[in-house]
Parts: sequence; structure tokens; C-alpha cells
Amino acid sequence: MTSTVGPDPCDLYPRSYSDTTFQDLCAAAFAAMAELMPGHDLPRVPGWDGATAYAQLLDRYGHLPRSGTTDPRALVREMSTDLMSGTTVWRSADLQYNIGSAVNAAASAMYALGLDLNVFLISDGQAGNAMMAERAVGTILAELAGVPPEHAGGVFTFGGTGTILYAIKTGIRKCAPESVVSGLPADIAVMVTEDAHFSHEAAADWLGLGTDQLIVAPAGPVRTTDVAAAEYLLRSRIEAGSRIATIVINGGTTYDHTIDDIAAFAELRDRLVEDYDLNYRPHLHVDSVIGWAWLFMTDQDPTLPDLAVTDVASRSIRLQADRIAQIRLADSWGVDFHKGVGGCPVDCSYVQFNDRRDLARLRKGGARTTSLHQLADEFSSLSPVDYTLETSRSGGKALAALAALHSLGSTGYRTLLARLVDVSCYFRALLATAVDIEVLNADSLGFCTMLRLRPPGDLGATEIDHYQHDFFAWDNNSRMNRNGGGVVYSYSGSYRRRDGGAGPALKFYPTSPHTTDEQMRGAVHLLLRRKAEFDRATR
Amino acid sequence: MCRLADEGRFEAFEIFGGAAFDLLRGQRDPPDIDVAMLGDASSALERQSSLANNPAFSNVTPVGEYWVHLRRQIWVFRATWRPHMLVDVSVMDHTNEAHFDVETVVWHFPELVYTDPFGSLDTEPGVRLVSDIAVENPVLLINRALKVSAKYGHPAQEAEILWILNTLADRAITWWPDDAFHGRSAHDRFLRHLAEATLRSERPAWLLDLCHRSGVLAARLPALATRVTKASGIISQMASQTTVESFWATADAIVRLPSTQWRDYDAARHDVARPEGRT
Repeated sequence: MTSTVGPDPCDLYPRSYSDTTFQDLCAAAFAAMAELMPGHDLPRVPGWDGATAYAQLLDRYGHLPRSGTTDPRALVREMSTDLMSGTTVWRSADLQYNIGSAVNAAASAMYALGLDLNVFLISDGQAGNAMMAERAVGTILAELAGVPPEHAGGVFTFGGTGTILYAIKTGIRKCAPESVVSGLPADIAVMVTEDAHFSHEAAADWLGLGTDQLIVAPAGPVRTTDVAAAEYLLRSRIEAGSRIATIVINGGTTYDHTIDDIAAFAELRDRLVEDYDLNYRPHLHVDSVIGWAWLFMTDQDPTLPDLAVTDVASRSIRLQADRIAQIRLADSWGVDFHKGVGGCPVDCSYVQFNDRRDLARLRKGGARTTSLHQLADEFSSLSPVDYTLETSRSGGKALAALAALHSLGSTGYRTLLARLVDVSCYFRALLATAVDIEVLNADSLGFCTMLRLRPPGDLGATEIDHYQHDFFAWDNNSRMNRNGGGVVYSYSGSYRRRDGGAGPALKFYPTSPHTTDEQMRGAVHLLLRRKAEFDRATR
Repeated sequence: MCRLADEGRFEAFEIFGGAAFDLLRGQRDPPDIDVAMLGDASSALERQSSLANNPAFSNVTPVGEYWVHLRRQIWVFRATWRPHMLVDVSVMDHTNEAHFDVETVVWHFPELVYTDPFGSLDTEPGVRLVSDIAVENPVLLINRALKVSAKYGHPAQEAEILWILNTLADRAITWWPDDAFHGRSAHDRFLRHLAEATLRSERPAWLLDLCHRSGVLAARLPALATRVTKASGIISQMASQTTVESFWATADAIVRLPSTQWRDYDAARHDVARPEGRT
């Protein structure tokens, strides 16, 4: 006879959906958060001491207990307090740390439900109607891009890197279909851009492409990719015997939100096919994981009368929308719903193919040895697992994205995006009045501002670079990491400037819908005050 | 205050800044009064129209736009009340942020109470900063600094006023935006304020000299600043003028350029762009 010690494990697997343990434990977790942040709007969950407490936490949680807890609420409360400390709070108006996203509560609820029911977005045999969430998101995105929804299709994936992996893989299958059997040929090349996110290189590496097989197209003076230079590089490579699998261009870079001339690259793609009589078409992918949001602005009145923004912001939005509107001419593009105004929990990325037949090229059945018998695919009418990179995919992302899109509607997204652009324009206008600050991307059409501080005295370039680093380290350690009040911003050690040089810069990246003019004014005042304190302390 | 409310048919408003400060210190009939009331563009138009049809008021100007904190919009108009008192009405949807302590004094109607957050009424009038001047339109701030300095400044405060003007001049030297209000209009207002502040000040030569030493003249009127640097007696010559017209006529004669364009927005900007223009 066996005896049971400790709680019945089945209590943690409630079968009822009214007053469930899950809801109860979520309430405990949120109560812990409310206790930590009674004043609500903190940019970081307090209680974080950096790396000093990590050993202690590992000691507390790194050993498996023999018996489980008798009080799961207490466990959840404790874990929430211990392990959420230091986490950035994206809904906080003071957080201007990076391109994360304040989560829309409707999206969060649907994600949570998907997690609790454990929806495997593999096939409708397992996910049921949740499969339609993915389809519906694809349809909405196609309509936004002006592509007939019946032609387009896409899949959710783990992040922006995933969208690039899809793009490169699709290009490889297009130009070298034999690779599914014989592996990656040595003559495959992929074009990326000078200002591309590092994930492009990483994706190429994960797919077995060495950096020698990457063509890096340079940026022009305003950081859009130089189409003529790209053409020269691509032609040289083709003439040297390479096959161009994928051309990845910018659809909103991380800092400046630069969108390349998509139409020009689409035209270049077609011209290369024609001029060299290629038996494949290079796959043109737009890395629009940030820039996709301007699709909400494309088919509206150009004067944007419904948005309470200044002329400067309105013009900026319009220019950016005109650029992203060309995305229909690309072959695929990415969306990060967990960035900017996307409003979904990470991870929540989606790659859209303007011609859904491209997805078919990724079928796992392409290789003779692949069989999906473990997934009972013969009993499912929809089976994206046939062509997805991941086998296990959470249904939560599709449900969250769809909830975000429906809860806000296009008007909601337009309002949120316009607000971010507008407060950033205001921020840059305020900074223009401060002699101690130089804005590095005043011409950016996006909502991230990169700046440098002018140190006192007559310093050389290297010392000025060090000053940026030292100031940020000081402000970060003495204020921001301690929730010392005011804006929490970030730092880039190698921001590419308009003059082509690269160096450190401070990064102000508002993403919260609650960000206001007052916050931006406060941020400038605080920055100047902190600079004066730093200069006094280090003089 | 009650007479103004009664004759202007104002339900709720505030008198703020210098007029509130002076009235609450017992001065009667200040030459101008700044009045603020809550509202938006349409209520500003309503108020303006109401005063224009009110026999107690005359010379009511059209409603104009003004921006504080660079882009927070307010609506303004001016009227003459009683034979000579100017009433500057600001209609806004928020509480304005003042930069000098005397500007923070507010007298509220219908409560008939006043607020004086910095205790300005209990101290000797002066020019004291109470909020950050780092991120505002530097030219508009110079204008306000000149106005306050002309009225309340005295030589004992010279260092502080000089620091304020110098800090603002450093920014104003590169402040030539395309924005019609913050650029051209702010510059035009500067010309008006410089002349009016000099005429109003008890120490006009001292005030003008501060403008020169702080770099305000060099930042906005480089041609005049050059002449002041090169020749003596210019400050006292301009400070002795009694009207705005003669003030600028004297300046024109000193600068000795063929036209008065040297003080215009575009010409001044052009001059700044040429290094030799700022010797």
C-alpha cells in the first residue's frame, strides 16, 4: 500500500472552468504585484539588486523539493515577488527602454487562456477553431497591405529572428529546391542591409550560411539602403556564379525605423530575373517587424484629421505610411506583435507571405524521409505543422494578436501609433532647445530618439564617446535600476550616425500608450538635471 | 476684480502674474492685467465676441494662437477696459507653468482667494527663477525675462539676471525654426519686448547693457551688437528714447544699414549664418 505525503497533485490540474485554481493563483500573483507597486506606474518592478541576489535566488529555487507545496498561492506570491523584481514594466509611461510593447489586456487574457488550455497550434485536430485565429490575423494583415486575402498566408513564429529564418529558408527552397535533400549548396547568397538587425546574420548562420555568403548592401545618407549599390553587389555576385536566395530589406529599423524603397527593390528583383534569365526568383523579404504598424495609416485621409497630432508628426506619419504601403510588392514580411503598438505578450511574431504558395515550398514532405505520422496529420484538414519551423507552437500568440486587433480596431492602432510619433516629435523639439544635447536622428520618421550629451570642456572624440557610456552607467546604477523616479531610457554602444560613423548614444524609446507630452518634458528636464549632477560629481 | 467680473460678465477667471502681484501688494490700477480662464478655441471666440459687443471694453483684438511649452496651445486676445487699462485674456485648458516667482501669484474669482506658492508677496520684488528654463522656446523666455527684469529687476540681482539672459542667449543664438510661431513670431515679439522693457524700466541703460553683456543682442540682433561693441555711448543713446518708434529709429541710425531689414527674422538669421556677421 502506498501512502501520499503532501498535497494531492491533482489539485493543480483543475477540470472546472468556474472559480478555477488558475484564476485564484493569477489573483495571488497580481496581488503580489500590487503590493510591490502600490503607486502603479513604476518602470521596473522594485526589489531588484542586480546580480548580487542571483546566487541566493538560485539557492532558493534551484533545488527540487521532495514534496510539493501545500500552499500554491503562497508559492505563486513568493515567486512573483522574487522573480518579477527588476522586470521592465512596459505599460509604464516612464519606461523608454527599448522596443518592447505594453500588453493589451484583451490580448493578455486570450494568451493566458491559450496557455491554460495548452493550445498546440499544430493542426485543427489539436487546436480546433483556434487555427482560425492564425488565419484571421493573416487575412487582416493582407487587407491592410492591399493584398487579396485569398492569395496571402502566413504563420506565427517565435520572434523577429523566426520571420527572417522563414524568409531565408523560403529563398533557399526557391533557388535551390534540391537543398531539402542534399543540404545547403555553397553557391547560395543572401542580401542583408548595413543597418539590419543582428538577427539577420544570426538567422543566416543558423541556416548554415556563413558570413561569406551574405551580401551587405550599404546605407545611403538617410540610412535607407542604397538600391544602386545593392544592385551592383547583387549583379557582381550573380555574375560570379552565386544564386541569390533572399533579399532582406529594411521595413523599419530598430532605432530609426527606416523603411527602404520596397518598390525599387521589387523592381530590381524582377530585373535580375529577366537580365540573367534566372530560373528562380530571389525572395524579397521586408523586415517590417516594427514598420508594419504604419500600415494602419496607409488608406486613410492623408491629412490624418482624426489624429490629434502636430503637422510635423502628421507629415512624418504620412511619409512613413507611403513607404510601408509598397509592402504588397514584396514576397514576404514580418510582424512583431510584441513590439511597439502591437500590444501582445512576447513572443508573438508572424511572417506573412503575399503569395501563400510560397509556404508550400517549406513543406516538410519535401524530403523523402520526412513523415509526420506522430502528429496524425491525416486526420486534420488544416495542418500548418507541415511547413512551420517549430513543431510545437503555442496557440496563445494567434489568439492574443487577434484579440489585440479586434479590441483596438484600426482607429485604436492609429491613435496609439500617432501618439508615440507625436510625443517623440515633441521630445526632439524640446531637445533642440537644449545646448548640451545633440539629437542624432532628428530626421527619423519613427518614435525612437537617439542622442548624445555634450560634455563640459573641450574633449576629443574618444573621450566624448566614453562620456556617454560613463554617464549612462552612472544614471543607470544610481537611479534607473533603483526605480529612482523619472524616465528609464537605454543605451546603444554602436549607433550608426548619419555621417556613417558609429558610436555610443542614449536611446529614448517610448512605447507605452500612456506616454504624454508631460512625460517627455519631464524626461528632458531630468536628463539635463542628471547631466549637471554628473558633471559636478566628475569634475 | 469684482468690477472686472461684473463688467466683463466673467463667471470664473484668474488674474495672474505681475498684475496680481501688484494688486495684492496694494497698487491700484495697473496699466495691464493678465487674465486666464479655462476653455478652448470656441470658448475663446465666445469671450472675445462678448467683449467686442460690451460697451465697457474697446479695441478688442481678434483671437490669436499662442503656444506654451513649445506646443501646448492657448488662445489669447487683448481688450482695453476703462479708459486705459489693457486686459490680456488667455484661454487655456490647463494651468500654465510660470518661470519667475512673481508670475506664480494668482488671484482667483469667484473664490476671491489668492495663491502665492513661492511666498513672493512677502519678499522684496525681484527676478527669481522658480522652474527650469532648459527646454522652452528661448526667445519667448528672453521676452518674459526682459519684462520681469524691467519691472522688478535691480542691480543687486545683476548676477542672477545676467546668468538667466546668458543661458537663454546661448540657446537663442541657434533658434531659427521654420515654425511660424516659435520662429518669426517669437522674434517679432522679442523686438517689441526689447523696446517696451527698455522704455518701461527705471534703469533702461542698465537693462540694455545686460542684454548686451549677456549675449542677447548678439544672439538676436548681431548687427546692433557689433555696433555696441565697437562704439561707446550707444547704450545710453538708445536708453534715452521715450517711444518704441524712436527706440528703433535710433537703433537703425546706429546700425547704419540701408534698410531696417537688419532686425527682421530672415535677415538676422542670415547674419548669424555668416561668421563675419558676429564679430
